[in-house]
Amino acid sequence: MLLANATAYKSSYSIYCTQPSIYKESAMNSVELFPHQHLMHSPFEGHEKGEFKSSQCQVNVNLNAGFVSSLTLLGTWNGAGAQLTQKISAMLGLDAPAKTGDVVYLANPVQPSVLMRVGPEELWLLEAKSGDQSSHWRAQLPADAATVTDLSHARCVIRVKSQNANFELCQMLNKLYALDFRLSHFPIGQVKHTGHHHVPVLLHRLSEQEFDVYAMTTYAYETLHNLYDAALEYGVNVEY
Amino acid sequence: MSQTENLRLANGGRINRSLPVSFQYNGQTINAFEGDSAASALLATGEKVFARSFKYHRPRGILSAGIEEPNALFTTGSGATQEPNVVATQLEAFNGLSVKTQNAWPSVHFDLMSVNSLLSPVFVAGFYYKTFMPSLKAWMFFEHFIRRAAGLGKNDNTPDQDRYDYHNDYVDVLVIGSGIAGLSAAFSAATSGATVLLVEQDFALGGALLNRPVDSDEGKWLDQTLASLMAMPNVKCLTRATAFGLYDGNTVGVIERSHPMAINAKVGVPKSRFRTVRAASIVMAAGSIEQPVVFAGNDTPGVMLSSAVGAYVNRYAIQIAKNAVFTVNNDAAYLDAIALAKTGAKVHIADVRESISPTLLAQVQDLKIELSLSSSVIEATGSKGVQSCRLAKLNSQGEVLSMGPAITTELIAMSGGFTPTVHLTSHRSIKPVYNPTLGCFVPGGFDKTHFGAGAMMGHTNWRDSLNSGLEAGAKAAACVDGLAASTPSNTLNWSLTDAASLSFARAPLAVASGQKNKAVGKCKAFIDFQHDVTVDDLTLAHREGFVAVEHIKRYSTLGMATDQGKTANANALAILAQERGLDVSQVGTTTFRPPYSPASLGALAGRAVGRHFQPVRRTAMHNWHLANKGEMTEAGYWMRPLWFSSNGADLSQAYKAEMLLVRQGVGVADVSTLGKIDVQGPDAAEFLDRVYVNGFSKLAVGKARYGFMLREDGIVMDDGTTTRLAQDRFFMTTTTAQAAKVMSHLEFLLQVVWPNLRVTVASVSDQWAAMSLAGPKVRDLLRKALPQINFDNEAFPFMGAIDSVGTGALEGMPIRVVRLTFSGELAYEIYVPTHFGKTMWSHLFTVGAEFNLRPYGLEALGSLRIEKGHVVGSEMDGRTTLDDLGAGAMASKTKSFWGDTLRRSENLARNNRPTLVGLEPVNPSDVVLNGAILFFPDDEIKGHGRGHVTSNAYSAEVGAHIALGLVQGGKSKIGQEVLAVSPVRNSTIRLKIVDPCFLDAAGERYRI
Repeated sequence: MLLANATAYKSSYSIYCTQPSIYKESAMNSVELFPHQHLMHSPFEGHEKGEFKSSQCQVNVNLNAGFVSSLTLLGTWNGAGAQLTQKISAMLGLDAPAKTGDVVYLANPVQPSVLMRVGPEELWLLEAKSGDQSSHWRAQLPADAATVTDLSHARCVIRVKSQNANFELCQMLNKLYALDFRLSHFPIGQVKHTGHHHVPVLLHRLSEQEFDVYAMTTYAYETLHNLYDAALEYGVNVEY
Repeated sequence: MSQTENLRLANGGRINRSLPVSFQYNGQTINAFEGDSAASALLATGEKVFARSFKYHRPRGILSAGIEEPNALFTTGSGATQEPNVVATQLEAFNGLSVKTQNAWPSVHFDLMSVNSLLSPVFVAGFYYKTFMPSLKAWMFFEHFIRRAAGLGKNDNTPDQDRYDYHNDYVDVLVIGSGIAGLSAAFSAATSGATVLLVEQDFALGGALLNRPVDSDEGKWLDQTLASLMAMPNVKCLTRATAFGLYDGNTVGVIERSHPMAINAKVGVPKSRFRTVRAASIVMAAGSIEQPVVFAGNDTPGVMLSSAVGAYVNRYAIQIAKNAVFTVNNDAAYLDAIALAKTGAKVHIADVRESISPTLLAQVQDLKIELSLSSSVIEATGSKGVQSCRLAKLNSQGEVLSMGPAITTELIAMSGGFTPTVHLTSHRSIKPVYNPTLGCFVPGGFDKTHFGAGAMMGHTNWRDSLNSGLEAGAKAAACVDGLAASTPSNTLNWSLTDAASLSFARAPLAVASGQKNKAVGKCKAFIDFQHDVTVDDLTLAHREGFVAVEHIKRYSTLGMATDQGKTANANALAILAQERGLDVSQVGTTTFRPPYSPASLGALAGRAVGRHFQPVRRTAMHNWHLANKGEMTEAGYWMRPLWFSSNGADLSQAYKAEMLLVRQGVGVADVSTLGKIDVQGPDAAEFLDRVYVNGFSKLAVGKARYGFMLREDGIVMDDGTTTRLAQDRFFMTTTTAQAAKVMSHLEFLLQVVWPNLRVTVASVSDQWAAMSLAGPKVRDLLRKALPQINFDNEAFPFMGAIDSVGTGALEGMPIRVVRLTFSGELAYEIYVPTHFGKTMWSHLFTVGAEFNLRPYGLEALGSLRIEKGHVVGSEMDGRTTLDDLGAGAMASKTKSFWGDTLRRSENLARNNRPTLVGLEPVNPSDVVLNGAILFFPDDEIKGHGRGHVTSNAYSAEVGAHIALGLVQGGKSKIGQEVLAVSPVRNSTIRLKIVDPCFLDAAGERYRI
């Protein structure tokens, strides 16, 4: 089953995140998200958490940081992007996103996933099932058409959400990211690469006022701190 | 001063009388209202002297009501929040504000430095050049004192406690300026469907409309228009926001100051925000700036621009004077004179023109304003305030025909016409052009999606400005993708009154200039108030041969400092034109560059300071290091433990102890910072063969190999170990420093050089935490820590690699172990997915307690490798070849590789290149210094020598400090002595050249 949009995706299965409040949104209770969670340490350990109110005693921004359960990079070489799209489409029985920034959501009740086109020859496959899924996908895709790399520990995700319907989240994000967040330029459901201080992040727009920020794990603490600091004047709640 | 007078009018103005505020001025409390500027609040008290001039320390009052103010610069705050040179006319009054005057001692009312005025005959144009530059040596002596004396205001050296921020803005249409043209442009663009950002430097929207009575047609139009704009969801208006620069790609730099009461660093509210605005199109409606009239004593406190009088009366409700003389050359100034006359003040207008319109004349007569046509003020008298002035009858050429009597007055308002604010178009290298009809410079053109409107374009009345704004807004909206061209909305038009139809006619600039009047006045006639440049300075500069306007500027300092000549340049150009016998258009202008008005360094730095100066990269074990006495250091963006204070009291003790730990027991280092790259694809092995100097295609699965890669020019780029995981998959590691460079190098090769290779590369540096365990006891430790792996030498040989899954406490954890060494001891590198890193690290310490496992830091890591003779960035410094590093034998002779051709070039293959050696001090107590230049004993100690010391460390194995270095002749010189000369430390020591591998050359320690 293919979900139509990001909203459906969000309500169907949120992310693959250790943060309990995000778990609550998940419909995937039957899936063992992190069987080895007791062995894992959050890169956000030691960061400020809780509510930090603005000078107007408001909390307009919510930051919810956690692990990615499973992230697999599906790649190919120069000029083979279209072929990769065909192979993946055939493998998953859907139209894989062909244009960079496009996203396709799957609502497979056993293994929901989201497929993001992050480059001409690269896709990210995010799955609720935790751990290294690369062996599985490597077996599915022909070696002369695709390469498969596990990045599950290479990225963390920080969900940035407006707590107040009247608060424009993008004014906070625009402190860090030189991106045009207007819906006409960054529609709901799309992903975009950007960065702060030359540190790359991938932003996934879940709604007008809600984004997932995928940060490199070794910069994840720093990314959370930058988001927290940028949100401070608007009031922010930090969870991880 | 004391607050002795109250010139506030009972009614009117745009101040909020229900919100009184007070602030401190030189320690005294000043009462004001919300909506007041510091300048207006102080003027309401009757205060006249606010500053001392830069050079002569002459008393100065307030000249203007806007950003162009050259005189009234205050220092706000104190200590860490102190900020000098804040323009009083732009500084809004608020509770808690503290300002003080500057550039005077002990006060602006009595300034001892005014003795400079007595020396004014020698402080002429080019004074510094003439006096202090007899020779370079003399200038270097004088410069120190001149620099100490120069400058306006002082900063405080304590760290700034305020916060500054940064914003990116994306809009369809950016409108700069909120006067009648800007507001109508914003309205027009917004009604066309565009998203609009309007920026206004003032703390209130309205521009020149603010200076009209609130109950006038213009005032009502302003309020109605603002209400309309605020109700439009696609319009955003920013006050206190100055567009200071226009750059490529429709990018505009805007500095937005926060409301002063909102600033609070503790809760994240910045003092200002540096906004980078990217717009599809831009409407510039920056208005115009009124120019002074040049006459003797025109800098006396109480001499003010006419528009400022209008502002202080209409916007701030202050009867700025009870009697005033206006000296003008245009109709617009009459609005200001009329406004003041309506407060009951006695007003006299001297107009250089021979006649005015009957309508205007009737208004003047109704208010009993005395009018002198063909007249101008030619001299003001008074020291700390105007006391009187003299008028003169002028002919049409501006020449004095007869002198009038002295007129007692406390205010002289002057209006020499207006100059459009063309700065932003000039930032795009578009020279302004002179419009002889208007008597001013107007924009010389616009970029494709830029438009101008209002007074900036030379429009001389409200109606034209409004219409030009509507038209510009519509055109700007039509530039936006998806928006069609539309007819400008005219819903903002209003029934024009007589006041609104007044012309802003600009008489030729030179008519009322001091050039023709200076012979009459005894005092100085100032052109540039802020830098004390007079008419005499300009004429002297011209006589001395400076004719180009850019040269005049630099010789006389005209148009410099914080106001950048906003009230000086126009008159100066006119005078220069007269001196040269040219038209103003032929003289041209100086170049306007960003910023339009001063931008503080804090504002420009934004949030990229302190904690946010650069990103910090953390390994999975970062918190463990902090909790276990790791002394952290920056390594690029990474934070790494340099040493552990649990191993010694200081760095020197600790790293030596940590080295012994590895040599005699077992230690573990966090090497997660290594670059890690996943290389996959059917042609991956072929790709690595081409990238590395040595071969990888025959490397067996489960084995690792050390390799060098070169740059295209044959210089060594990096080294590292690559492990073959499968026939078509490799796990490459790079040095920490070169990780990003190698990654982009590989991508370049695949995309540009060998696009046909079926290979992908992906950075997995963040995917894997890595730790290096080394020492004679490491095998025993790992057998207990990872019992599922057979660590026997035969089962797991040197350069072997095993992927495993943890058991017991590590149940399910993916683990990769590679047996290789950096220290020269038996060693293994353990890789686990990053989130497991800290668990694995802690597990090793739990199991390793019986082996006395301890961590070692970067210093020991680097020192251990020196003993072993392994090279790092100190040796691979971007200048060395494979042969220089003693690794030439690694290069394959049976395949080509990147850099192979040029490494054989004449220069890189010459025999006398410095090559890698070991170095030991002849006197074991000597310490070898990094970077020391190496000379042969018979050499003259001069120049670059024979090589240099690249790395040094203390070696317990050798019992002395040892070093690696590059020296001509390399290993062929083993046994010979060299001198290590350090010009920095002024030391010379004798060294013996030895083999770079100081221990276990046969590799017996790590192969067991």
